[in-house]
Amino acid sequence: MKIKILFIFLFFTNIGCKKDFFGRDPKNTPENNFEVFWNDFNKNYAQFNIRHINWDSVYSIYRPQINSNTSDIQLYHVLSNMVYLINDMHVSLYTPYRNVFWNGTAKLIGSYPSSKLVNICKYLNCNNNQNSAIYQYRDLQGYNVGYILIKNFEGEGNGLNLADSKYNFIDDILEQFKNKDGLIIDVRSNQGGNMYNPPTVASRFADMKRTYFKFCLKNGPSKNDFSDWMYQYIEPSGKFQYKKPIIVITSRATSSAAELFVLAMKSFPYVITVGDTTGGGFGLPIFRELPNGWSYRLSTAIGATQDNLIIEGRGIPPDFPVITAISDSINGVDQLMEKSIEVITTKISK
Amino acid sequence: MKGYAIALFLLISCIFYKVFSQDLITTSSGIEFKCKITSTDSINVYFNIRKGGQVLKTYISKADVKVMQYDTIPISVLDTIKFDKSHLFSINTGYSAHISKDDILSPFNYSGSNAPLNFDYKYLRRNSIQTFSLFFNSLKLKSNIPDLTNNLFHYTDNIYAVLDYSYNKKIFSKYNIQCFVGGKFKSLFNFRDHYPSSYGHAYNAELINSLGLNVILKKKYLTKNDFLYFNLNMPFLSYSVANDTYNSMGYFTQFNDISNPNINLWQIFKNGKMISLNKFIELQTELSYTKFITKRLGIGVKCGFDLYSFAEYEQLLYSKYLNTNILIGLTFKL
Repeated sequence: MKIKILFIFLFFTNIGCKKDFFGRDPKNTPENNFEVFWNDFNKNYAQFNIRHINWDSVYSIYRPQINSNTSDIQLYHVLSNMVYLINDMHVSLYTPYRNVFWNGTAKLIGSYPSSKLVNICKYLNCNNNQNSAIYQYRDLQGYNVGYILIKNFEGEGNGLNLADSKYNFIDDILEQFKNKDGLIIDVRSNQGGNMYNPPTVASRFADMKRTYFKFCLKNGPSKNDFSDWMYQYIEPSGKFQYKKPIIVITSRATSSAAELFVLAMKSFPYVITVGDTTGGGFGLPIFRELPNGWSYRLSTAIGATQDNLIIEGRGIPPDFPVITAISDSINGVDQLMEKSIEVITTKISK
Repeated sequence: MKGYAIALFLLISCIFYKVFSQDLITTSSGIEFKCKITSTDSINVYFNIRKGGQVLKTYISKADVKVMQYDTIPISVLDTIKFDKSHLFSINTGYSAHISKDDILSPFNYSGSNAPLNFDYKYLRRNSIQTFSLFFNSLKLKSNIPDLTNNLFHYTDNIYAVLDYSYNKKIFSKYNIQCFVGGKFKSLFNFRDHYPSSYGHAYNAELINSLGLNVILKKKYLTKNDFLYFNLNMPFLSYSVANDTYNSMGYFTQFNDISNPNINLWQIFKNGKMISLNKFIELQTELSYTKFITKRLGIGVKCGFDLYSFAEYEQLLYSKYLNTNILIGLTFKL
């Protein structure tokens, strides 16, 4: 009996120390929700300086709008305004009302025809449509040129490999396209995904190990606490490397991990980019949560090209800038494809 | 933390001493009385005896004492107990409660429970004890944050595994309690995959190999093979992987590379650091009672407690974790 009492006593004594050791959770009040949100950004968000945002001023503007009587919908509007103010593709707020994202052009795809292929069968052989979960690949009409659309870079790896193995299917595509004189790779509608996937694809086009990107990471609570630049490399991988002329088509909707792909491809001397400047966001976002159950994400890094062009909020400019206007779209003209064909045929003929 | 360690140690000591020690003095004239023997000298035996609800301190001349028994075991017998070597294998499961607060992942406490798997091996010798233990649990932790929609839910997938080995030498044996002191090598792996919503998640983990001061108190019941066992461990030197991480992307600064998606475990391990009590404080205790129902087979109950605090970033961000468990299991003696 004594032993039983001892065990029960010990078990509950141990549990009893929880509150002292762990502290209490922030209470679910409008003020606390605002404070957690503001403080998290204050300590973790990496891009205040490059976006010229004074976060203390943001506090002094919005904090007075919050008190104990603030309703959920009022809080939603205040936090939404803060998200819009930052205007970063990797800053968002998830609520039961609506999810709030940046005001970038990526969300305006319907009124931005540069982000999608217009009049497909005018440019591509519609009889040999090949589709996979990630890739669409066809022959270009009238030329010995292959066309590969990479829809996104989503998907996670397994075990100790963080890249999704389904992107290795690029080897099969290149096996079919190995006798083509050139390739057009279309990532204009690719809004990213897992940052480990772009190198899988880009490595199949690499001629040698090259530096293509660098980033620094927020590593302390102060506004200027950043790690050293971390340089990223791309090197040959896969069954063989395709090293003939390649066009990469980009648009404002090309964002996040897809921009890593563009940078990696741009590091090869036989790759040319055509289209619009990319969305402009690397970010390395983290996801956080509020006491009321809402969630949000924020960028913790700054990405740049190796020649010091910061891409956050700016994007990667193409070698040949061109957009498809709405009138072009109505007339069935894809200016990005027109330009790509012009550039690649010139390159091939040289 | 230190207060709890001391309090717990004192509590256990007191319980061992006060609750379980019931001494017996038999006088030359054959009178027996239960008491608490406090000390002896060359002439007298000093003891406390309860009378009328009060504790009286008194003594008796050694000449009048026929037999003194500590906790019902005659001293003469205690001195002749033969300690055979024995190998004890135990497999246990039961209830295990886990609480986690990881500043890198969330400002909220997450907790949950599940049935763990525990394997123990003890090699008992007259003057030493060696132990090997494996504890594994995989569970889902929840917080007090409300789950609002199918996408706005909050949980942490947690894998908690401990592998340890200890070697202890007997320091003293008083009454029928033996005290062993030595060291414990412990590998702790605590992995958390945190979902603040369905839109994204983040990982964090501690992988800490520690060397600690280990104390074992063992009380053996003479008439049977049953024993009560208490183990206290406090690491003082550790090798920790993933240090000075400010947020869940911080592992990039340590061992990752976007261009190489293959995690290199050796690279991760190699980048670890030696740390001490300024970064990692842990207190681990275990109390178990094993009762043998046959010569070789016993049943046991054990109560485990493991609490640690790991400074993830300077003295600002911490991972704190508590595992409390009460397990039952089978013990096989070879």
